[in-house]
Amino acid sequence: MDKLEQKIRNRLAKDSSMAGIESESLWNAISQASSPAAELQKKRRFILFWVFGAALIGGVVWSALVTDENSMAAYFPRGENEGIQTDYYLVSENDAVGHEVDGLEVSAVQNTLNIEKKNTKKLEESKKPYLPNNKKITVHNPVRLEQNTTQFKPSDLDDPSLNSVVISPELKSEHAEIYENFESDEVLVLNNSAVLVDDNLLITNLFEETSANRLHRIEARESNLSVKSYIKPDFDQAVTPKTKKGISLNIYAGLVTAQNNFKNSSETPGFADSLDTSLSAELGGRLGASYRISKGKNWNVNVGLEYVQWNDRFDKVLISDTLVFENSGSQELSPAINTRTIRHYNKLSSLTVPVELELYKDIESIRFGLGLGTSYSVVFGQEGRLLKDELTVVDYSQSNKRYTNFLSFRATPFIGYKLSEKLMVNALCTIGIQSHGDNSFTNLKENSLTIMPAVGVSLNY
Amino acid sequence: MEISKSCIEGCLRGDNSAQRELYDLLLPYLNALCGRYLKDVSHRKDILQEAFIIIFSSIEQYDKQKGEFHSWASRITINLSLKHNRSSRAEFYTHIESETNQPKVSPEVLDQLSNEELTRFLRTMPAKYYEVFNLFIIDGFTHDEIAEMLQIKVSLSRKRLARARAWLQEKPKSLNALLGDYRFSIS
Repeated sequence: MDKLEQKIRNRLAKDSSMAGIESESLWNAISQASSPAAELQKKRRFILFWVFGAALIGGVVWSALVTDENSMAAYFPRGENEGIQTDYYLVSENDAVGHEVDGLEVSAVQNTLNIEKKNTKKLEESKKPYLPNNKKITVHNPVRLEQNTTQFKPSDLDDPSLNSVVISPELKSEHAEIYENFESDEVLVLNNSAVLVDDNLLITNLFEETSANRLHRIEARESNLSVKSYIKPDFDQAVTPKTKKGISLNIYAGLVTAQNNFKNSSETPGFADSLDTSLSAELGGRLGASYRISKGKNWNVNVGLEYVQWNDRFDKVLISDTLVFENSGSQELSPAINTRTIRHYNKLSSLTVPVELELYKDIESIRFGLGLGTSYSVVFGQEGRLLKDELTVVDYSQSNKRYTNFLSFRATPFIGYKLSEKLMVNALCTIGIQSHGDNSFTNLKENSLTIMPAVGVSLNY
Repeated sequence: MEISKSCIEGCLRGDNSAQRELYDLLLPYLNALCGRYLKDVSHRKDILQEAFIIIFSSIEQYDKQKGEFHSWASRITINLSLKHNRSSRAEFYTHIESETNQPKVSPEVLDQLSNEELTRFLRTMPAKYYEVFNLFIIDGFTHDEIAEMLQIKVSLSRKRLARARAWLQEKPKSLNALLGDYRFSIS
C-alpha cells in the first residue's frame, strides 16, 4: 500500500457523517419495524402469502391435469364392485361404418350401460334398430374403448366360403328378441347403420354389446397435492455476518411426462417391442420443495422432497373378423374387420429426494442455472394394466409391482427472475433417466425418461 | 469508537434505551459507510434501517473474540449495500471529463479535499474497481473475504484491485480537475 492509498484509508476508514439522514425519523422506523407486534404481523402476512400462493399453484396444476382429459365429457361414478374405484367413464356413440349417427350418449353406471328413452325414440325414427340383446353389460376393465371400427372387406365378398354363411336360427331368434326388446328401457347399444351378426362376436359379450360405441374412460384423480405451509424463519437469521452460506427455499410445481422403454430378454424376444409400441406417455404432476444451500460463488447444493405422479397409457388393440349387414334394410351379410382399441391408464405415485449440484450465473436480475445430480424415489402407489405376455393383460398394483424404488440421474436447467433480494420466480425443467429393473410379471427390464417442466419461487433468507 | 459492554448487554436484553444509545453511536459511522458503498445514496435510509434491525435482532451472534462491535456492524451494512447494488441497476453517477498531461497526484493534494469530495473522486473510477478498492484499501478486507462478499473469484478481486491502483496512478487529472474548475460542479 503506497502513501496515497494509506492517506485515503486514514481519511475514509473512520469517516462518519450525518449527511442525508434524519436520525429521529430513522429511529422511529427502526423501532416500529423491530417491535414484536410488527414481527408477528410480518410472519402472519408471510404465511398467508405462501399458503395462498401454494394453493393457487396447486389449483392451476390440478385443473390443467383434470381438464386435459375431462373436457367435454360428462361422467358418472363407476360401480362399487369394480377393482379400481376411482375410474369413471362415459360411452358415446360412434359410427361403425362411417355413416352419420345422431349423438347418443350412454353412460356406464355400476357396470351397466343404459339408454334413456329419448335415445330409443331416435332409433325408432331411424328405423334401423339393432339390439344385440337386453342384457346388462358388465365391463370388466377400467378402460376406454377408443376405436371400434368395422370395415368391409370387399375382397372377402368373393370368397365362396363366405357366400355359404348361414344365419343360424339362434341369430334369427335373437334378432326377433332384439326387436321385441326394443320397447324396453334396458336396450344397451344401438347402431343405426350396421348389424353385427358374427357368431364369434355374439359370443363375446363385451364386443357385441359395445359394438360401434366408444367408451371414454375418465380417470378420477385423487389428488394428494399437499399444500405445504411454510413458516418464514426469524428475520434475525437473515443476512448476518456469520451466515456465510446462504440458504434459500424453493417451492415448485409442474407437469410430468414419462416415456417408458422395455428391454427384450432372451426368454421373450420381441415382446418388449410390442409393449413399447403399446405404451404412451400421459401427463402427470409434480409438487416439490427444496433447500438451495450456497456452497460457492456460483454454485449451490440443492436438496429437497418431491411428490411425483407419473401417468402412462397402455393401449390394447383387438382385431377380429366380423360380418355386417350392408345396409339397414338388407339381410345380406358382408365380411368386415372389427378393430377395437382399449386404453388402460396407469399411474405411479412416488416421493422423491433429489440432490443436485447447481451452477448458476446472474445477469442483472435474471439467473441462469443448471443442476446436475441424482434422486431416489420411493414408490408408494401404483396401479394399472400391462401385458404379461403377447396376449394376457394383467393388473398390477403396489403388491404386484411394475415399479420398485428407483434411482434417477437428472439435469435441471432453470431460469429465474429476481423480484427482490428475497424472492425469485423460477422456471425449470428437470430431465431424468432411470432404470426400474425387472418387474414381477413381465420379467423385462424397464427404463424411463422423464421430462418435468415446472414453475416455482425461491425465497432467500 | 467505544461501545460499552453495558450497552451491548442492554441490547441483548432488548432494552430500548440501550438500543437507542447504540444507534446514536453507530449511525454516523454506518451512514458514511453507506455513502461510500451504495451506488444510489438515496437508498441509504432503507439500508440503514435494515442494517439496524438486523443488528438488534441478531446481536447475540456477535462474538467479541472476533473483533470490535462496530466492525461487525459495518460488515452487515456493507453486505446489505453490496446486495442492494447488485439488485439495482444504478451506476455510480459521478463522471468527470478527463484532461491530458496532468501532473501526478500527490498525497498532499488530498488534504485539500473534504471526505465527501474524496469519495466523489474515488467514485469516478469504474464501479467494479471502486468496490474492491473500498473493501481492500479502506476497510481492510482480504481478497478471500472480498471474493465471497462480491461473489467473484479471488483472482478477479486481485485483478480489480490492481486496475484500481493503476487507475489511481494514471488518472490524477481527475483529481486535479476536481481541485480546479470542476470542484464545485460535480453533483
